[in-house]
Amino acid sequence: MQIETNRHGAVTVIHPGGPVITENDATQLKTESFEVLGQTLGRFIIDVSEMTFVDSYGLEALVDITNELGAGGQSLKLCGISDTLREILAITDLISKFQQFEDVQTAVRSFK
Amino acid sequence: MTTPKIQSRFDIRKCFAQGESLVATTGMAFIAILAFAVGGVVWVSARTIDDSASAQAEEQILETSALIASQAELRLSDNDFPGLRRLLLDAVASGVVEECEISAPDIGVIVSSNAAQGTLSQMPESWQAAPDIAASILHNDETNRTTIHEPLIVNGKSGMALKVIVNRSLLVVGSDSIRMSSVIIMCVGLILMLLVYRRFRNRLGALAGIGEALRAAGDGERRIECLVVGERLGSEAVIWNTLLKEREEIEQVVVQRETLETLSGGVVESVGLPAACNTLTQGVLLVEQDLQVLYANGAACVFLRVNRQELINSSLNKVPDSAGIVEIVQSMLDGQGASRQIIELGDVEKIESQGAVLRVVITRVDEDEVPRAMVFIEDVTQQRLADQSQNAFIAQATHELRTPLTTIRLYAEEAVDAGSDDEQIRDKALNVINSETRRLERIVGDMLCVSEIEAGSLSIRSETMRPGQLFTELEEDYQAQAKDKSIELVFELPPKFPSIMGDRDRLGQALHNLVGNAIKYTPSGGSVHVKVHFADNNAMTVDVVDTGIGIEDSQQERIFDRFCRADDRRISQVTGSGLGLALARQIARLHNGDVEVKSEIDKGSTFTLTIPGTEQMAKAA
Repeated sequence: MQIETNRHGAVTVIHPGGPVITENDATQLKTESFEVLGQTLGRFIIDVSEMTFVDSYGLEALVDITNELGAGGQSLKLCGISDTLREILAITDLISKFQQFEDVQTAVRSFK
Repeated sequence: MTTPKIQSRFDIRKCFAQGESLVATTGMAFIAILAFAVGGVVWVSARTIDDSASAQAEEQILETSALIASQAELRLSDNDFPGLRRLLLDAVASGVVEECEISAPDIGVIVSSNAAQGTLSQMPESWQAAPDIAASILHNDETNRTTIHEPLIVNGKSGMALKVIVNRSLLVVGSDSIRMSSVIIMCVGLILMLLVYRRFRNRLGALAGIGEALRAAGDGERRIECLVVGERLGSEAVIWNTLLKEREEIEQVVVQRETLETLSGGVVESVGLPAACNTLTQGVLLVEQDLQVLYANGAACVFLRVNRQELINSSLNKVPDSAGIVEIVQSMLDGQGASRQIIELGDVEKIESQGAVLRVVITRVDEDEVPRAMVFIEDVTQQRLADQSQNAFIAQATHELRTPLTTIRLYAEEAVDAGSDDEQIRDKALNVINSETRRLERIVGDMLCVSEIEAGSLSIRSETMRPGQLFTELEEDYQAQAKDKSIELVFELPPKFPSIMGDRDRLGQALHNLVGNAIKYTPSGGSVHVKVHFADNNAMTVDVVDTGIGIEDSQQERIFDRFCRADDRRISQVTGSGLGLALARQIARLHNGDVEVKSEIDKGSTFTLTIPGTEQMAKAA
């Protein structure tokens, strides 16, 4: 899976290029996120607009990332959540663990 | 955990409930030992008393018989038979002697305490001497009588003997009564002890039960059902069981905490103020005089890039990223400087290397005369970047406003100077003034829009409109500008414009920004094509295609940020507020549409504005 990272001011946007449906995808997303977390002290968001589906590996990766952020009083900010992903997060009762934003700009502005 | 040993032998304790087995067996054993001991003591005492009494009785009998014998010899020598008889009767009357008589072997009974015997009234003239007669004592246990034979010497002649029969039972005070008394006392004592035992049995049972439970716990037993004591044994048992339940609850809480800790991989403070502080996005540190960190929340550890377990209770000096803080904290705790200081760590220009700009507020907090420092850390990187962008915007906006104003002033002066003499110059001046005024109007409009976006009050007045006129005006507005730059501006419009729902002024503002940007960033000789399409549902798509300088992939999303311009040296000489694209996208999104970009460096860019059809907009509304 291709993962792009863009800077919006002081905020880094991680943009996974597709669904997270394998252990490798999840590990890649987690590694990239943890690296960005260390560099930005948590000023990053994940643009999941193209992450149309996640399996248990993907969910575990997202939960691990938000838990890591939680140690610093933050939680993972997701933007561009598709209906399917929203439903998956709601069914697994994990949706409250994340902050959701309509688009990247709104998510970036939330850091101010 | 060890399992209880299996006992194959009979164990009396199994016959009792937990808590009673020890008490019951111990109580019974104690009573048995006590009874045996008391019985033994009584028996030994009675035996000793018996022996002592027998010895005393025998001694008394011998003394009595010796006394009677000596008195009898005197009276026989004096031939005082009445006195002798009185002596014997007095001896019998004393109660000790039962029968008393004096006899000679050949004469028989001479004098007796028994009136039926010994009828002599004076001394016989002769009697057979018997020098070999010896004193003797005979005991008859059946009759409990003792018979004493005492030889008498009368007038120097032997042969007479005194026989004294003594009833021993009268002499030996009955040890049986002592035994009986002791047994009665012992029985009463045992009964009283049983009553007392019954009274304290439950309490002792509870204590013994608790003791058994403690021993079991010492052997590793942890199951609560194996450690509880019957609550009927009293309040101690109830308290013990309550303690066990509380311990189990605490153990469950500890297990839950450990589980949470394991899951989270760090320190979990699930209750109280520390837990609340842990949810803060601001870092909080409490530092003591020797720079020892008493408390640090999670955010502080993130900002200082240190593990929490390593930070708490260790010196702040050991944290590499705290160098700027340590100095101030130390001087503050030493009583130097202000009691509240604010510093900023990091440089917004060096975000890439430093990671963040941190605002640190250090406040001295004295508690019980112990100086401490509270350190609050906040990540202000984004705010500082926004401040920087806003400052750049103000400088840019000032420049943007000054340019058309200067142009207007110059052309107005020229028109005034030309007066009515040169209509051509005057017309040109008025056209430029008109154009620059509209440019000025757009800039001011953009600024107002920005302030509305900032305030969250930007809205649209959606109404049915035909956008054809909009594109005609747009073409008129930019054709001259394009011509000045030798840029080919082409509008590819459909033959017929359907009605759409939208805010005409806002859509015009968005389109102006897109076309204006395209002309601004397209070099001379290039082209700008505005292509308008309508779908079957009347959804409108406007592609603004230029052959300009293009935008790097990493900058393509950033250019839609307010006050942001692409980080590109090629546009350093091009003025711009950094608001146009942000406004265009915001306006499109207020229409439930969007603005997207596709671009290649040095080849050009395509900005696509989409506005959904009337039905979709109605549904969205």
